[in-house]
Amino acid sequence: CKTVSASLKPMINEALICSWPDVSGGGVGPKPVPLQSLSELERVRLQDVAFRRLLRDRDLGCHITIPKCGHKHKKLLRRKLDSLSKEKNKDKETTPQVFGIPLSQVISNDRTHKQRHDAQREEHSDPTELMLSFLRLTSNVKRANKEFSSSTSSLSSTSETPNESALPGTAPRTCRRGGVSVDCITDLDDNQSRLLEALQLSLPDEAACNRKKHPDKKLSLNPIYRQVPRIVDLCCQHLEKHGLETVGIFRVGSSKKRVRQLREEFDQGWDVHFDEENSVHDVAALLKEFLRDLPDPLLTRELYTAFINTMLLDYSDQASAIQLLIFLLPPCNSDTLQRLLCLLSTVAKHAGDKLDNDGQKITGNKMTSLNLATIFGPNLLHKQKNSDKEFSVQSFARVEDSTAIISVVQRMINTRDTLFMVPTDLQNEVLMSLLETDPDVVDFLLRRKASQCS
Amino acid sequence: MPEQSNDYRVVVFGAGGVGKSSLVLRFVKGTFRDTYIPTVEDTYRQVISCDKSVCTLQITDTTGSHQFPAMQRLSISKGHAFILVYSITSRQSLEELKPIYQQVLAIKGSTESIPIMLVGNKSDEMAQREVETKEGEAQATAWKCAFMETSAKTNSNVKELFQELLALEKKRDMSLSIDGKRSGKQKRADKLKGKCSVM
Repeated sequence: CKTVSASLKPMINEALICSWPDVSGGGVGPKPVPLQSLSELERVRLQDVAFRRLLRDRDLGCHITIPKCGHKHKKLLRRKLDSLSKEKNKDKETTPQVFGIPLSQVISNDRTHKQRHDAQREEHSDPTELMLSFLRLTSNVKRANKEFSSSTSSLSSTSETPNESALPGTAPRTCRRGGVSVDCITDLDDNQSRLLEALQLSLPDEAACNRKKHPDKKLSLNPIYRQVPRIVDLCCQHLEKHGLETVGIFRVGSSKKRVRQLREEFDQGWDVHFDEENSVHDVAALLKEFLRDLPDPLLTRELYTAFINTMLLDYSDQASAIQLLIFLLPPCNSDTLQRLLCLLSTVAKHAGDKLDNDGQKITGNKMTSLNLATIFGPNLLHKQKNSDKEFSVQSFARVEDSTAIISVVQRMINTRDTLFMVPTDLQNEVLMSLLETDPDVVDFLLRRKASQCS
Repeated sequence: MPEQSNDYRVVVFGAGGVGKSSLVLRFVKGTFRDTYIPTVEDTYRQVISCDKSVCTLQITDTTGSHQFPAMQRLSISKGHAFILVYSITSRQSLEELKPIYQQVLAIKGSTESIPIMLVGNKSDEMAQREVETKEGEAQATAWKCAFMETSAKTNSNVKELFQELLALEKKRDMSLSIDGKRSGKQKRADKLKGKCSVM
């Protein structure tokens, strides 16, 4: 390791020198990179950097805190789950698996189900089949390198399953190596298992939650397992496939009965799939309902006022302030937001009437980014507590707030291409901050960045 | 909920895109726009005559797209009268009114003395009709409320809708005209016959 870092020194210096004097402005140096390509360690640092930047440069006129991942709620729920699971079968029916529980919990439930599912499948398959499936997965990962699509997650969860079948113990390791989605470490051999360990995709459970106890120690150098609940992915895919040309998608109502049924199926942990039979309006309503029922809204209660107040800044500062606030979000929130905004901006692109190749008029869906923001805004950004059965009037947004909520979300939809790209100056600040604590890690990260650029 | 003023509050409910805002805007401003903009919540005020004096008719135009149940409960508990709108071009939109009606019933205890109007809007779009007039009437009979088909676009039955709703309020004597002339109202009520039926 030492020799590697020594040979890299000039490169680091070069990178730092060309970017250092230029902290506020971007410009030279590498290009903005996708947020999801950052390692867990970098993402946590980015939170801190963005937080300091917000305090220093932007006067949002309110107290800002980095939203905590999981909350007490999670622990409580865990305990509840544990106690319930002793009653075995009952627990499945009574504890919702998807709706009304914290986002991190939904993702963790998804993983548990996937594992159970995979484990069942593996029990029945013989070693040859298993080997084939590993090969398939490995090739999937190569393809998924940039996108960190769901195949990555399927791989990483497969690697986690207890694999006691006829295969020799090396198989899971091979698979783990496949799971490492970075080209430049494929030349590492198996002996360096500790490094490999550190390079594995981090899983949602481990992400950020242990941070307090062991600052940065357990954080992985690889991008975080993409944390989007399965239900969100499914709904988005379905709507992208079938709903883009539906007039009033997300606005027009749905069948309450069918939506309730879908909801129950998800909550009972069924392996739900959508097909053409599923009305796009039902799926749209399900997605809205999922977001609305999160105990903490996607943009978090902690940042409610800060997000609202971005609209008081000069217009030219608004987008970057929104971006900094998004960088404060827990990874599961920002990943899910990114997936959602990707869908919404696609929907908005189909809002107007168009002419097809034959000159035939295609009616647009009429859902402009403003319309979508009007509908999604209150679902993403509110400070109401769902747990309060007895609602209080004060917790509802004031009229001024509701205008700001819509503007913030509209801006997010319109700028989603750049919103999740980490600007160069912030990247450098993250690296500088890491250089103080973990210089070796910076070596590695820079080397990887260089190899990804070329 | 204590009576804060002598405002008379009308709440308009219905699924997304059935024309709640269009109806309200046609009534309040006399205009119609062929745009497609969802509503968060808007309230309009208009002075009307009431018990030989004047009071403010307050019309709350709700959102059809995302109902926070608490928000809905609040509107219902504050409202004096309700307009339940569906679009005659969407059976689904009539279906969606059912839970809303149940909610009104649950919060108000009984709908006996509460003016409720079931409205089938977009009556101009005959070609796309999915809900027959008879079905609307049958639903209104079941709910013991009044029924009317309207078109905000062609301004058909819009003013009549609000007039009829106010006439259903037995606790107060209200009329849209401020001068309080009874004859005007009488005439219009005659004109209405055949278009609306009070169950």
